[in-house]
Amino acid sequence: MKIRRFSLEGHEKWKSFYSDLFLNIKEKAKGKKTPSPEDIKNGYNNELKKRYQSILEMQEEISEELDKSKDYKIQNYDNSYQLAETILFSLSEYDFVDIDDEKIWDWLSLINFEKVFIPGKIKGCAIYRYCVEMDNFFSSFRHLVRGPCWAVNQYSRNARIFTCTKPYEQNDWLEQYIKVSFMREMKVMSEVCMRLYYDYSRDESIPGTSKGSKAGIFPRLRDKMSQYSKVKFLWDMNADEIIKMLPKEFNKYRENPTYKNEK
Amino acid sequence: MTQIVSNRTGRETIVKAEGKNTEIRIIAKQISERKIDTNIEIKFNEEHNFRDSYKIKLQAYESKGSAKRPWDLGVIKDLGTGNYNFTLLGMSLDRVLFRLKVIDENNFVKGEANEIKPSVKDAEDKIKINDNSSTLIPIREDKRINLPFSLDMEPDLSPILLVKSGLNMKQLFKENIQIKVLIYSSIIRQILTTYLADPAYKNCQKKEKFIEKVISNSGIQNEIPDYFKEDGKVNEDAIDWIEEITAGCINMPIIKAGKKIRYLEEFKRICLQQKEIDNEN
Repeated sequence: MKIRRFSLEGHEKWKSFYSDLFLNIKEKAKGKKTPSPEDIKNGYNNELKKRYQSILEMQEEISEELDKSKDYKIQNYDNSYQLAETILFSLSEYDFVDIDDEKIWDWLSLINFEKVFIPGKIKGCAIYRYCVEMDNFFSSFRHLVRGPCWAVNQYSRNARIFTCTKPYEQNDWLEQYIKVSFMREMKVMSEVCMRLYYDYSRDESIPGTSKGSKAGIFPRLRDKMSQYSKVKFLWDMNADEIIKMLPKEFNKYRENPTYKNEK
Repeated sequence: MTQIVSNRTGRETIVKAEGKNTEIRIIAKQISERKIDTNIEIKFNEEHNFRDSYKIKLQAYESKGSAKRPWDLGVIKDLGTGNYNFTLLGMSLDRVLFRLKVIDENNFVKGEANEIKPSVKDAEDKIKINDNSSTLIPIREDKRINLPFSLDMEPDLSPILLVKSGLNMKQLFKENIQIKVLIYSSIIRQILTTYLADPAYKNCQKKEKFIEKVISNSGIQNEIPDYFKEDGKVNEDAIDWIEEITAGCINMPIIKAGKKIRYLEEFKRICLQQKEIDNEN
């Protein structure tokens, strides 16, 4: 099938369905800030499951095909990187700016709902995970389809550190990284993060590197880069030059034994 | 915590403020919903002693939003008339800012100007320079804020009242006295508190002008107290001063629809009137 864009009516149906599901889970959670896996399972009751099925069945009537989309097949994705790569391949005839549309991302949420909403496994169910809020710059990256697609489009293979988690999981590296505007826009920084903090043998980020106060981890890199950017023009530097500039506390990560030069 | 930045590499500050010494001036015009045309004029002061080989880079960004890859404006030697034209895609004229950097051969920053606000060309190609506005707090619609109103405030920039777009807030603010008083009370108090308490605003170029304006509007001439006492605690005199100035400022007499009114008094009158109607009901 080709990738589609929700019509206004279809989009409203989807948003209304998910907000009812969210509210039902919240009700089961009885005021807890984060619903437990059990609350999510109970909240997604048979009536809501039927409602999802009915939207899925009528999706062709409430959406329009994207002309230039290539064939898209839902697969068993090991991680968000694979999900994003598959979607972006199908949309490769478009510039990202032309597909960065909440009606497309949310249609993809609907189609992939069973991959990105797995009761019992998901640890959160916030609305922005499934219904993108383009008006809200930061939460738009938390959408489980748009976030990984944005990262893979922006950083290609270096996006793996931000998308190595399961498609139904929010990636903390992406969450921490996108908050820092000068790093987010500077593509070379994703390569720096991969080389320092990615375990190439396990295909995942090195645990405990995305946040905290340990020496040499990402928040320290962010602070150092912020300091260097006052003195040096980082945009014209490559990953080797940036890594070389880092102080001793980064040695542990600079000598990442799993690093594979993929160029 | 405020970051303290030393200047061991001798970075020069490039003048962005409008005046006879202005070194960079950016004029922007919204062409379509997602497109902004910019005209950039650069004329560096010779006292900077920038070498001919130094590169000039200009970056567009949005406060709390996206940033573009910096534009390469060539090297000092080729600056010529210093006139450049660029088109920006996917940014809002309301939020766009620029930063200019002059870089040496080893990528060290030798000169900079940050948070450059463009002058805006309107539909008739007239340039509006924000700094000359007599408005106390400019209002701008913004779809990104979560609450109905918010304050956009950064050192060296005029504070801006942001109102949520799509809620008709801008119009309501202009027409509805209750909304105006509630928003003004909160925003003026917040700006004054920030100016007095936050060390990042110690040398803010806009601070003095704003405080002068609110003092003059309020008609109160008390000395401005320090926000913190010597023991580091908040000085209650400062809190009282902020409350007094805010109230005075909102209550200054203005002419509305040919009538002289005071917003705070009008606010009280409307509230009491509403109370009577409720009682009758």
